[in-house]
Amino acid sequence: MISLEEFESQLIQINTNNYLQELSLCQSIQITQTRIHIITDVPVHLVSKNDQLNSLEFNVIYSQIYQEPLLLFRIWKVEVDSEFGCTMKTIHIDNEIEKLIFPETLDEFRIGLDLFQLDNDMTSSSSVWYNIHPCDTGDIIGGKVTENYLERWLNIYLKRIFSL
Amino acid sequence: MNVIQNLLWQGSVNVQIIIDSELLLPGVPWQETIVNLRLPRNSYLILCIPLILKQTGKFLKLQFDSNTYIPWFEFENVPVYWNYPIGILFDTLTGLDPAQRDAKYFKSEDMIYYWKLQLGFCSITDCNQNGIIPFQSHESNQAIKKYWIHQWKQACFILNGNSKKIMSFSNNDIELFWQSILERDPVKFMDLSNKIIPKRPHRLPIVIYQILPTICISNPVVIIDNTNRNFQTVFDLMKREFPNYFLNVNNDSGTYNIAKVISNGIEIPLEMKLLEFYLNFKSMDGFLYISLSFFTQSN
Repeated sequence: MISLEEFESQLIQINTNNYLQELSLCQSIQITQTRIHIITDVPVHLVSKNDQLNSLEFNVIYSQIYQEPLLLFRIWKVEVDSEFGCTMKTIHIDNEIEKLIFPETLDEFRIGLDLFQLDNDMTSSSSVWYNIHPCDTGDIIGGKVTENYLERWLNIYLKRIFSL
Repeated sequence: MNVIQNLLWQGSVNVQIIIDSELLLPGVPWQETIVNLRLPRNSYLILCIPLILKQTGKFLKLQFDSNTYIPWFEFENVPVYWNYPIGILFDTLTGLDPAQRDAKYFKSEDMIYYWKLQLGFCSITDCNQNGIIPFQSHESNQAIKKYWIHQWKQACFILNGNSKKIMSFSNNDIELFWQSILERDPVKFMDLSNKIIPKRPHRLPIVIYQILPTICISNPVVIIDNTNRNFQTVFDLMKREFPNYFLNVNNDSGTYNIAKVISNGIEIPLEMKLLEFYLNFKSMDGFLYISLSFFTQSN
């Protein structure tokens, strides 16, 4: 577990030491005081399963319930609208999302689909995101929270799972 | 299951479903497609979608097993989030004030009150813009079951500090647990939920749903102080979360609260102990749902 204060402090550290600069396939990264927002191209192993997939969007936020970092993601795909003949970018919803995302060697993770209000602003609305269930995060990451916990978490939850 | 829990388990809401007229085949009068249901408060709206579509599917322009369009409910142009129990949706979206309910709606024993919802279909993108979790109509049961299990994992984590208790359930246990909701079997439900809920919880899983001034759904952190558990009341939580709405435990001291705490259609006394509130009023997904009802001028 990591406290909110420690999480926010390590976000600043990630920003300062440019830890995510070398993330492969990256289109954009935005680090704020409370979360990390990332857009990337789709890794080859996902394109090989579905060639309509266009980009991945991530948010790393803090879960008050689990007191852990929480990875939210959406997969965008491009579809041709047969009625109007134009291409549209839409969210890809997959009933077998675990099979799509995870390499066969990673079977300890579970994915849920839920609503998240990304900013604690009363006027912002909720939106739908896939999330990687964080209940065993502490055991998976290991070590002390003060020792680059968020970097180690990003290494597993973002870089390893999504091959970025 | 004690008397309160048993009464709450039996709580129900009369619902009238009307299909969006634009979705009907030409010449079909919308009155032909009305579906009236009495639904348990402790259940999910989408569980009745197969029944609604079985009854009305022949009148629809769309194929209801289409992967492109997602069914959704709306009430007075507000989306109804299917992932919450029916009872909390009804209480919040109608701004239910139990003190006014009988006078307003039950003027005679011959009258029945129902909640009128419209069923429509939208694209995945529209779903997302409206904060609705998309699901395929022919897989609605699986979608809500998966969501419900995730809710229990969260509730288990909050209550125990880890999810081990529910993670140790076998597939058969999970199936029995889910069937207890579908079959409305309170004994089976309590047997299994009691294996997850400890006598001395670590924290309490609570959701507060308010629709005014804007729709806001919050999960407050509620830590149970086991050394002084008599201290924590509903008022303590409300005062901390909504200091502008809740000023006093009662309204005798000259300053007035502007909201009431509602759960399962019942106004909750502010002096009630939080742990007692949770244990009696929790929902079938392990969370305690609270809606806020605001005093009107007539109050």
